[in-house]
Amino acid sequence: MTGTTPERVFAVDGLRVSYGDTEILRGVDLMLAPGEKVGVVGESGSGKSTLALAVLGLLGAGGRITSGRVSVLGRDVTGLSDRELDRVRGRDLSLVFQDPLTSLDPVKTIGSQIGEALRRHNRGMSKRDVAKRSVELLSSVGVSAPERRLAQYPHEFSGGMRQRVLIAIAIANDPAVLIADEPTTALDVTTQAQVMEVLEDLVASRGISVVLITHDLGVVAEFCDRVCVMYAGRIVESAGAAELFDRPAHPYSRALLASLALPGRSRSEPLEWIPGAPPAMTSLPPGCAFAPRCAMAEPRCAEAIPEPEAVFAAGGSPRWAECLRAGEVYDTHNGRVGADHGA
Amino acid sequence: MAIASTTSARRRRRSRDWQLVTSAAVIAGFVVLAVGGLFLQETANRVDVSSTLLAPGPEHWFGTDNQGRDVFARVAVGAGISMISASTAVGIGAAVGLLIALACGLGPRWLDALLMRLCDGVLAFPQLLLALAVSMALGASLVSATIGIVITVIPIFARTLRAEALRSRSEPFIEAARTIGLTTPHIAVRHVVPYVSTTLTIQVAANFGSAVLTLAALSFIGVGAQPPTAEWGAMITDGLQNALTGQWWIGVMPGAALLALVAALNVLADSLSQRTTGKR
Amino acid sequence: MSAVPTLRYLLGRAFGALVTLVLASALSFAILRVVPGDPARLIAGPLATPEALAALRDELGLNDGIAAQYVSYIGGFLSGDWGYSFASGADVSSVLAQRLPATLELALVAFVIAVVGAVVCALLATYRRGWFGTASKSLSLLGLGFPPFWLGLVLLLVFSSWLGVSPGPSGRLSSYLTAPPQITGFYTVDSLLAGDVVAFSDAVAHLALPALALAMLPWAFLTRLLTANLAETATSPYVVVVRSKGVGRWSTHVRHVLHNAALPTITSSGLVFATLITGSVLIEQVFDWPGVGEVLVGGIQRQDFAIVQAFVLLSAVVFIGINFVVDIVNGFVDPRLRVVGARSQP
Repeated sequence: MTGTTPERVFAVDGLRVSYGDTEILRGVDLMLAPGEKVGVVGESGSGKSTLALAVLGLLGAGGRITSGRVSVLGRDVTGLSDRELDRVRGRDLSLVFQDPLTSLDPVKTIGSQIGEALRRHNRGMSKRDVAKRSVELLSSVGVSAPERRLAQYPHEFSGGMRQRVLIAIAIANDPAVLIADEPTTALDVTTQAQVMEVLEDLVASRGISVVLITHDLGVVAEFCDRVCVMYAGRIVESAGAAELFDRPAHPYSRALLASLALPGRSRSEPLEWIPGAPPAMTSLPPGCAFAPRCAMAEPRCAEAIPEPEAVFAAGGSPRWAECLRAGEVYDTHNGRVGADHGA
Repeated sequence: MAIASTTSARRRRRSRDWQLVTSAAVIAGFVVLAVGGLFLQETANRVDVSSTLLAPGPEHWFGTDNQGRDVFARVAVGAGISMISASTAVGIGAAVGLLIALACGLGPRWLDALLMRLCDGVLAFPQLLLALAVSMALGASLVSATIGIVITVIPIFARTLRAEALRSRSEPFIEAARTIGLTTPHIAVRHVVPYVSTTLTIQVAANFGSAVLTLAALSFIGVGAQPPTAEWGAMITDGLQNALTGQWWIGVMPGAALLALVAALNVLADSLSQRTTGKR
Repeated sequence: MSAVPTLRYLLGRAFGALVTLVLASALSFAILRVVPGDPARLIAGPLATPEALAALRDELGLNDGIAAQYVSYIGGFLSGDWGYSFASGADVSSVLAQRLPATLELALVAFVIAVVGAVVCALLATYRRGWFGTASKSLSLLGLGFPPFWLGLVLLLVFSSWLGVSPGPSGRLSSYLTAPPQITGFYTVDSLLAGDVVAFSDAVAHLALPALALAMLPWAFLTRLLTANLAETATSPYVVVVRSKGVGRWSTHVRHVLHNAALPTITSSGLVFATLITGSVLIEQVFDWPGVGEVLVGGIQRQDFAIVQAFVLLSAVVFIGINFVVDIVNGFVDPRLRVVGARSQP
């Protein structure tokens, strides 16, 4: 990292992304302080993964950023050429990708795949140094007998072990920001917990800021400082993790929490569900995208996208929700959900 | 990502439609040509010493050969010969291949192993060479060449359709049919054959083109249709002698027809298979 | 990876190849010995006397059972006794040995053109959308329809008759030049070794058109195969992960995408090489190329079974041998295949 640590290591401002004629991200704002861990939650199709690819400049064919900016360590990276971005990716900003089973090249050794990340950003690093550093990285993510395992291929690793390797690759160059896109969804529950623990230790000891993209609110509750709730390509609510679980201010967040079997919730309480289906991105209503499914919607909700409304928890950090009735939602919340998650 | 691909997919589908229509039109054109060829049989073999080696013109569209025969009439007759022989070869090959595939996919394991090993044995020969050997053994003729092609085509159908037949076994509707006690032949005919029919169609289209090409190659070497027959490959052999002295049309015209037909068949097979993989 | 499964992989492949070999030889025996009726008549040729025929039947062991005949047939093949070619007036083995270098040189050059052309076209076509990709895809689809013998004729017409930039169908070397001293049997290599630049450029000029005509089909086939595999592999999640490390697009494409997509192409290249050798049968006649194909076609026209039989069986042996080598190479390219019983991921 640079000498003076900027206030925000990572910022996304009004990011819009389209695939063809369809807008997938419709103005996303996101900010990370050094060492902060922010969760981005939402249903599948809400644009979470597109956000991960967009900030890395890896949208692929057909996808493009139409407006807005992404800055890493105070530097705008949206205008950079692909070649210039290659120097940012993996060094300042790195990625842990969804499915560990398909995220490693099956025909290259683990050692060469870790070494590739090291050599790319450290020209002239000697073979021995690469090997030494790779061994350190592997043991730091809890892979035993790292010297031997460097020569092995991905198919000789279990899913959890592969995800650890991917984490090792992502932190190889001590990036400022790590984007973790559903890092544990493909793993079984015990492995999930272990992998999250490894990730938590590493980012804490190295001061890495994390954007954790997931649909798993349980993981967010345990790992994140702050939560952004995403719906139909926009972040509709942003709040401290504890505050959000305690008292959501957006009807969608509230519905999402109510549909979840969180620990500490009594079994007799029925799980709620959100009526309707997530909207098709090709035919969004002009106003609030959640309005058609919202129990609290009023005629004015359909008119325009509401301005974010700031809500202040008593003595808590500033938070906002993109809802005309945010204050009301916040005030009327009965507090039954996630009561045990404040601490 | 799913949404991302729709516009480019639509564009691709449109170009596939275009491919399909064009190739089908070219093939239809050849069918018309072949039907016309039925009425040109006599013209095609009429030797006319007074008008040998004439260049293409209004009188003879594709010119005449060294015996004064009209090249266009011969190309038209050749279209019929090629398409009838190739469809016979592919039809028989596909039918036998399908039977083998059903026996392998639904029959006992030992039968599967035996038949597949036999297919391996046949596939161990380059296609052209095996067809050549068979045709020569039976005595060079159009029928021998067709039989030679049949033998090389059978294992191709057997292998691809067997894979499909095996896959069908794990489909719920086939398992259900087994559970309610339907007999194997019944399941084979009523359920497995419809299941593999898509793959069968694509394979027929793809092998049709290569059968036309192989037939011409066999005749070109001399183990297929014999000289006076207006077969395209044999006509190209004929044209070789005159080509470099200036009478290029004798060899080039039948070859151009061959290229157009085979290319159209391949394009058709390609767009058919693209269409179905999109649906799967 | 421990050594044991690798050895088992090798042995398993070798056994499979052996079984196929036995079946293939039985098949070629059945087709060219049993089906045509009287092999003695076919081998001795139409001019043989009845006494000679009787002697030959005895020598061939035609009075023995089919199984015994098969064994002696295989024994003869293995010991290099491939019979007598009455059409060429020499032993089949010496005819083939004399003709083989010309065919091999042609097939090898065509092979290199096809493979290098396919890799370059497929890589560029999948790297960037644009006119090149469209052109490469259309041409390779059309290319599958080219009859090689006809393409050879058209190339000769265009480059030799009309443009005059290429020699006519005059074999491997212009008639006023003498062949370079034989070392490898390949004129291009031998002339270079002898330091004969004139002969070298003449040999290359003679080789160019037949090699191109022969390379068209395999180029089209390999280009289509590799393009499809590259396009599919390029959408794999690990490609995104590699890019997220900061590796450039082109080196990701070559080092990771190509490596993963190459397997089916390598498998097919082996088969393609074998078909090139038989494909040259179709080309040699057009260019007056003094290779195996020319004597084979001559043999067919004169019902000279001995030479056809030897060539067919030899091709099957080469075909199976190449397949075996390809299996081994694949084992190196894809580590997952080395594990016995393992199947590549779907």
